[in-house]
Amino acid sequence: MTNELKQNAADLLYLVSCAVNEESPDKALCDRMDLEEIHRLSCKHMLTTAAACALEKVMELPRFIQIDKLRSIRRQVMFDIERAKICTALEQHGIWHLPLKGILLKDLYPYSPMREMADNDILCDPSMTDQVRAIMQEYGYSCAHEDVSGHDVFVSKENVVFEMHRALFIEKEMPVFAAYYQDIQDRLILDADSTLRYRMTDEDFYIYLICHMYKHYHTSGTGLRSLVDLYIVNRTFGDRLDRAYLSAEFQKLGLGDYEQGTRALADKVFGREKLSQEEEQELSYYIESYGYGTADNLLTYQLSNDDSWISKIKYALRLTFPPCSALRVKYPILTHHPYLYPGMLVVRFFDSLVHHPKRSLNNYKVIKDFKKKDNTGIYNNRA
Amino acid sequence: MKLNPNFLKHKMHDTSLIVPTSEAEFHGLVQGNQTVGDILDCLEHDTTEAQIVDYLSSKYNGDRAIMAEDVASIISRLRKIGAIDD
Repeated sequence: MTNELKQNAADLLYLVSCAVNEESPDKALCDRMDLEEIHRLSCKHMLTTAAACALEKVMELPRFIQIDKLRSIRRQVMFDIERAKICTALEQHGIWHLPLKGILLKDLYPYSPMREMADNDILCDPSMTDQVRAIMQEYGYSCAHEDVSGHDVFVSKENVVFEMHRALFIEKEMPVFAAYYQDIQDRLILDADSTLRYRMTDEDFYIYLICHMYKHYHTSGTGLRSLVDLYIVNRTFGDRLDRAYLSAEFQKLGLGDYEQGTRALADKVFGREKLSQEEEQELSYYIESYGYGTADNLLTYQLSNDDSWISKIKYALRLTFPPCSALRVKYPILTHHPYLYPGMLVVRFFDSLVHHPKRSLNNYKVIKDFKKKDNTGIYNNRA
Repeated sequence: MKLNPNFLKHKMHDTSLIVPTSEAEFHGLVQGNQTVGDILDCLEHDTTEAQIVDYLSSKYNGDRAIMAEDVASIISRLRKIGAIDD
């Protein structure tokens, strides 16, 4: 990590810690900050509004920050309005559902727009997927991606995005978590003012937060917003969580060390305590992973951080000849006609050559140029 | 008069908000206090400035003439951004 990035990240974390702790930052410190670079970094980590909320306590916000803050507020308003409509429709059609992630986390922040969201995540009754798709269509949403990792992605012309999930985790990606959450509905609690909208217990909410965070951490990486979420949740109801129960559950999931270490890291970062060398290294993995991780991290994961030629050739072959289940995402005809798989491989080859030749070649170039990483997150146990 | 359907009202924390949809020519965000929220609530149905003032007078203590001026000012600003349908 460059010294410049290190400094800007430290400044961003300082501003965010002030925001979430509802403190005023030091004006002299803020006057010395490179606001353009910090803003750029905050956008990558989806922490623009949080940083803005701290800064505006001691200065007039530069226009480029003010605009993004207002955009973030507008996005949340649109998300809230649309979510209310969709959840009402799900209820009217007899579909049980569970709002997830940012929908719930934002209300724990001192000012909800600080918790930026890219989409509304809702788990719906998996036996009613067709009805869910029909509802989304009725409300003016088009399906941007169907059946991607166990969810459909819907977008409106106002750019409101919904991810309608059929499961919390899928076996192909996270088999241990998928098995753990197989009968999730048995553990849910009905919301007070609804007959079909559910919520998790505080413990299950916390377990899911960690599992979801780890899913990204383990593959493409996850950014600073995840650490803020963890800090906020522990600060809000950490005292009343059954830690003995959580410890046992995290051991079952193989997440004991990860949860403990990451919780401690989040507390120290946003409590502005000094970090150990190992914690600094771990924090830098989050800083360089940005909001939803990076393609570079994902490649590291897919190659198991192995830069041998055998590993690279094997991966290149998997990229060139993906399984039918993966190809189905781009060519839905394979869902009902899997015998067309060899033909669709050929179609895909020419599709790539015609529509994005540079990107296709670059995919192989980055594999060829891949070098083993020193820092892949201390809980990833990569060789 | 009532709120143009291309403008959506919402409450977030203690702030009343008006957000234009992509159909509106205005591209911005309007934020206001509780009183603005009350006025927006009235504008959900066809109403007049006098009726809005009546409603505010029933809800709050205060000089009616000043309330009428405030309502006129807010309605004027909303009209400027195209948020009012007459």
